[in-house]
Amino acid sequence: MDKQSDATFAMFFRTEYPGVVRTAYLVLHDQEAANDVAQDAFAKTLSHWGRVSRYDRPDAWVRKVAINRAISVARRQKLHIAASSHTEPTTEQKPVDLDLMRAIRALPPAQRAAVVLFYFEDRPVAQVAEIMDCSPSTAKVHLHRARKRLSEQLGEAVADVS
Amino acid sequence: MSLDGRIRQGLVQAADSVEPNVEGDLMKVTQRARTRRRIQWAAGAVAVAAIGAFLFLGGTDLFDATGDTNPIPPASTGGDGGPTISPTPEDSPSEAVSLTLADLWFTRGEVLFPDTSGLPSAELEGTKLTGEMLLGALVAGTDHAPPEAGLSTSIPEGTKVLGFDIANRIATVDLSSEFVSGGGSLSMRMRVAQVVFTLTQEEEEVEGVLFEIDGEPVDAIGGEGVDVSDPQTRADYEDLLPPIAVTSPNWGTYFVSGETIEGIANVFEATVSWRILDESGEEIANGFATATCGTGCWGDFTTEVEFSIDHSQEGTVEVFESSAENGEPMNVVSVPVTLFTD
Repeated sequence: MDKQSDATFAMFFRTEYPGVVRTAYLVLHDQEAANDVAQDAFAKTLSHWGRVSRYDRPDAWVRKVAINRAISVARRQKLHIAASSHTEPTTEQKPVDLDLMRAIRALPPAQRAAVVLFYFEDRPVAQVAEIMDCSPSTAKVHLHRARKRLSEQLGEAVADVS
Repeated sequence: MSLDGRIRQGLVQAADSVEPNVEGDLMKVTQRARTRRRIQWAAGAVAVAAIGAFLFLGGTDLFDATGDTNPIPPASTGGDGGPTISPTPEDSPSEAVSLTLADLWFTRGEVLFPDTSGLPSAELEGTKLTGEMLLGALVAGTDHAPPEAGLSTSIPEGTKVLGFDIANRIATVDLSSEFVSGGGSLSMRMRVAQVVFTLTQEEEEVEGVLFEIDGEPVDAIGGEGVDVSDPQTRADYEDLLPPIAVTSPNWGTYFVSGETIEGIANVFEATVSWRILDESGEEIANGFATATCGTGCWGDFTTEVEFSIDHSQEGTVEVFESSAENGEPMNVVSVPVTLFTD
């Protein structure tokens, strides 16, 4: 890779990496795992940078890799990641809605990912589907089920996703 | 506040607690992209090199280290443009090796079989891994793997890692007495080989392994007496390797066009064939790679593969040897993966 490509990747990385780490964290609820998933996604992106950099939205590509990797990791997380490795917010950190986060953590990984992309990244259902590599109707089902479960857990009313 | 509002606000608050180390992680990502594993096999013996390894000296053991470790030889050579990192004086007292990729060696059938999924963060290449972590994950067994992976282990359940030490490229492992319980001669050799293959990876710069049981040095393992009086190397257990061992991709992982198939093989004329099967079992790409040695000797192979699919799907990477007699696939290694489209 030439110096110009290095520079454009570095710029891309600095812009997108924090967001991808945070999104991965919200899916995995584990800081170390989130860092690793994000780094893996960006390493793959760098490996294919000559091609990816020409895409309309390289940020969507790296998220697609990261989210799918995060879902895969999350599915095995209960087997591999000890409970102690979860990053619980400390009292020194900003206040966190612990009940909500526990309820989100209890969701199946795909539903969790859909919730994070829809609510945290503020993406429309079509983009959630694109990143999760599923149809819009499947993404909608994930969101609907997630919200239903969250409302049950948190005792709040739920309206449908449009 | 509505449920939607609460979810949004809660996620933003939780995300605020994450402060990525952007510049540090950019370096890690760059190095990870360049990292390629290679196992160098020298005439009749294993040469373990640090080519392509991403080594940090310093840092903290993530695994519960049970013994003090001696400094690992300080210099490591970065291949593929990777870094050469020497320990600083501050690093030396608490040395630990971090590496990006590593295999645990389990068994499949009656041969050794490499696997990465048993690591605490199997999918998480780049997580700090130490010799203790590798060993701990190895003795933990194969419960992590689904039955279809076919993984097994000859290391008895309940085996504990009591100590781990590296000096002059020789690892000394102290295992509990469960390690020598049960099993016949093949099982004894296999469990020793599992430890040896797992610890003698280039990233670790470990060439051989000495064994202790319950804190006492031993010259033999088990009643069948596997001689371990000298440091054990991969060359001592090559006969337990399958004709083809695929080290990448690992089963169950994502596989993108442009990635590599890697492994070690001892096949006719060093020619390793591969093919990619889609979700319906149809072949969508094929090719071959040439190992660095063949027809009676072990060589490593790596080949970049290209395939085209219109949607992500379950698939299979098959690596095999074509029969010299009729061209039929033999010694087939099937790796179920998710074929990922970009």
